[in-house]
Amino acid sequence: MVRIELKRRKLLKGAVLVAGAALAGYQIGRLRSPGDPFPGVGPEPDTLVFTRREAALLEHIGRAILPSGAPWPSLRDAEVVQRLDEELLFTDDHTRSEFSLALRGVENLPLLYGYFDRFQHLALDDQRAVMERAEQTRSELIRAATNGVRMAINLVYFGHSATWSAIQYDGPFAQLPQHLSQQRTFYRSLQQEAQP
Amino acid sequence: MKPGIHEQQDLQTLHAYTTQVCIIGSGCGGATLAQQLAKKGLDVVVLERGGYYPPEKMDQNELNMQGKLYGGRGLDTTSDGGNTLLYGNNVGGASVHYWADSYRTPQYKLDEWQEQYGVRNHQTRDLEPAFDALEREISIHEAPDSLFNPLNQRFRQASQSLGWHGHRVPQARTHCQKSGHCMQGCIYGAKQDQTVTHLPDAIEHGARVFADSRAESLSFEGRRAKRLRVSLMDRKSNRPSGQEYTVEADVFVVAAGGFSSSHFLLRQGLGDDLPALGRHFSMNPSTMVYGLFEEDMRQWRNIPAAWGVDEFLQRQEDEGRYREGGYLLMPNQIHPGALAATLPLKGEQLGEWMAQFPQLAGTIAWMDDIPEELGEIRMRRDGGRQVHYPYGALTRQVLKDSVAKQLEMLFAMGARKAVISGHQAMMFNSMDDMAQLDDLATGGGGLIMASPHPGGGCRMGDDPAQSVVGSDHRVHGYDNLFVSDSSVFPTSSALDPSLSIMAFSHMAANHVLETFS
Ligand SMILES: Cc1cc2nc3c(=O)[nH]c(=O)nc-3n(C[C@H](O)[C@H](O)[C@H](O)COP(=O)(O)OP(=O)(O)OC[C@H]3O[C@@H](n4cnc5c(N)ncnc54)[C@H](O)[C@@H]3O)c2cc1C
Repeated sequence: MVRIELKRRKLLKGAVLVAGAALAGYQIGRLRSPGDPFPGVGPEPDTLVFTRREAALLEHIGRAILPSGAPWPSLRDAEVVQRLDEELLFTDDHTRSEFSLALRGVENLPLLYGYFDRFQHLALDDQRAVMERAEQTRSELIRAATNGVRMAINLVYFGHSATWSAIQYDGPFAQLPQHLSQQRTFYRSLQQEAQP
Repeated sequence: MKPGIHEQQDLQTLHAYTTQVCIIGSGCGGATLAQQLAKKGLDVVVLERGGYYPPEKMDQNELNMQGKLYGGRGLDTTSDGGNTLLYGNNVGGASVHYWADSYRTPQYKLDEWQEQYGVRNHQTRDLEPAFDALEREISIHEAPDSLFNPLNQRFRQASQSLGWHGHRVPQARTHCQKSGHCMQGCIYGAKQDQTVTHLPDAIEHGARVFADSRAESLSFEGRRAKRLRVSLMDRKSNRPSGQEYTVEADVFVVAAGGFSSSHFLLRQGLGDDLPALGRHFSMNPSTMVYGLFEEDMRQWRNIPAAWGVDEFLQRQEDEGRYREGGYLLMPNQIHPGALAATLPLKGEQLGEWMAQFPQLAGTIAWMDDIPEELGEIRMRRDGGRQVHYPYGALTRQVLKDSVAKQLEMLFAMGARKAVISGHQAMMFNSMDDMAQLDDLATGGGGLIMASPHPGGGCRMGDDPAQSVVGSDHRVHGYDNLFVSDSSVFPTSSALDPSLSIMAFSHMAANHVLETFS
C-alpha cells in the first residue's frame, strides 16, 4: 500500500513538473517561430499530421540521437519525418495525440534539467546531454515520452533503404520492388493535393 | 454472394446479410472455427476489420508490410509506453506475420486451468484429437538442421555447453525458402498461416469472408444476440467509409484476438454484468538482449527460431521465495528498423552497432505471466482500448532474471559485448559486468518489450463473477454468443499460443454445433 502510494505521488510529481515545464516552455518557445531548422540539406518535409514546429522538433531529436557523418544518410534522405507523418495519418486519434504529447514532453525536458530553453533551441551538444540525462530518469512519464519518440525515429530511419548499405543489410530477400499499399498511395495523393 | 473473400469494393451494395454463424475475426481462432463449422455444413460468414493481402500484394519491405498487416501500424503500446503491442489487422490475423512456432498447451497449464479456474473438458484427452489433426493439417514438425541460421546454431551449441535443456522448435512450414520474412508475410505460401490453410478450406466448404468489415455493435433480445452492425472500412484511409450493413445470425462468435475480444464486449456494455470482462489479461512480456559477435550471424535470414531453451520454463522457488525461471528462451529475428528501435543506444554508439548489423544478433525470453499480477484491457472514455499492465514485484524479478540468463547465453555464444533492450544503455563486456543489473529499471518503460501473445480478458470458468465464458465458450448469460480465441485462456498459455488457440476453436466448434442440433 505504502509503495503504491509513493509511486503514485512520484508519478504525480513527474506530471506536475512536466506540466509546469510545458507551460514555461510554451512561454519561451512562442517568442520564436520555426524556420527550416536545417537549410541546405534537402527540402523541408511536407507534412499532413505534424505541425511545422513538431516536424522541426523531430528533426532536432533525430539529429541528437542518430549517427551522423559518413556513411550515414541525413534524416531527410531517410525521409524520417515524412514517413512518421505518413504512419501516424493512418493510426487512430489517440495514438496521434499520444505521440504529439511525447514530442511536447521531449521539447520541454531541458527545463527539468536546468536549461532555460526548449529542446529545439538548444545547441546540438546540449540536446545530446539532455537525452543522456533522460536516460537516467526514474520517471515513467519521461521514459514513455523519450522511448516513444526515439523508437519511432530509429524504426523509420533504419527501415529506410537509404541506410541499408551502411548497415550491410541486403533488403528484401527476393529483391522485390516496393508494392505500395492503397494507404501509401493515398498519402501521396493527399500530399499533392495539399501543395499550393 | 459466393463463398470466398470479399473486399471493400465487393461489399459496397451490401445492406443486410443473414447467416447461421457470424464470426468476428479471421485469425487462428476465427478461421479455424469457420473451417470446422463450414465442414459440418453450417452457413458461416467471417468478418474481418482489415484488408486482404495475398502474396502478390506483399513486398518483404519491413515498413511497408508493417503498415499493411500490423494493427495500429505497429505503434500501439501499453498505457505506460513500455510494451509494443503486436497484432494483425488483416485477413488471417496475426498468423500472417507470426513466426509459426507451434506448441501444444503444456500439461501443467491445462491442469492449472482445470484445478484453479474450473475449466472443464479442455484436458489433454479432450484436446488431443484436435492437436493431432492440426499438426497434420498445417504441417507442424520440428525444425530440421537446414532451418538453423548461424544465430540458431550458436544458440543451440551454447545452451548445450551451459547444460540448459533445449528442443527443436515445432513449426508450421512446408518448402521454406529461408527468406527470413516471416514477420512481413510469406510470399511463398510456405508458412502455414490461416490464409493458406483454414480459410481456403472453410471457403471450399461454403464459408464467406468479408474483409474491410469492422463489427461495431450487437443488438440483443433477451438472452440472444440478434443483429450486428458492421462498418465497411475504407482501405485507403483506414477509417470507416461511412457505409454500414447488418448481419443477422443464429450464433455470433467473437474471435477478434486477445487484444480486442474483451474490448469488443466491453463496448457492448457487457462489463456491467460480467465484472471479469477485460481482466486477467496476459501477454507473455518479452525481454530482449542483443550481442555483437565476431562472425556474421545474419539473424534476419532463415526461420526465426529453430531452437528453444525450456530449462527455465517453470518458475522455481526456494521456500516461497523466487529463485529463477518462468520463461522460454529463443533466438530473436528482427529486421533493421525494429532492431534499431529496441536498441537502447544513441548517436555514435548506435551507429557503431548498426554498422555491424550482420554481426548483431540477440535473444528473446517469453515470460509466462504471473497469475496474480495480470494486466487489464480497459475501455477509454472515447471508446478506444487501453492495455494496462503495470509490472508487479514478482513479474519484475522474473523479467530481470530473464535478462540475466540471456546475457549469460550471449556470452556463452561468444558475444563481445551485449546490451539490453530498454531505456538505459547499459553496456556489458563480459559476465563481470553483471552487477550493473542491480540498477536495471524494470518498471514501466525501463525495459523495452514487444508483446505478440495476448490472452485473457474473457477468462473461461464457471462463475460469472470471476469469468466471462463457460467451458462451452459461451458468454455467461447469453444463449448464442461465444468467444473463440486466446482471450478465453484463464492465464497465459506459457508457450506461443497459436496451436492452443486453434485447438480451443475445435472445442468451441463442438459447442456451437450443439446449438443447432
Ligand atoms: C510478430 C508475431 C509473431 C508471432 N509468432 C508466433 C509464433 O511463432 N507462434 C505462435 O504460436 N504464436 C505467435 N504469435 C501469436 C499468434 O500469431 C497469435 O496469438 C494468434 O495468431 C492470434 O490469433 P487470434 O485468432 O486469437 O487473433 P488475431 O490473429 O489477432 O485475429 C483476430 C482478428 O480479428 C480482427 N478484428 C478485431 N476486431 C474486429 C472487429 N471489431 N471486427 C472485425 N474484425 C475484427 C483483427 O483484425 C484480426 O485479424 C505471433 C504474433 C506476432 C504478432
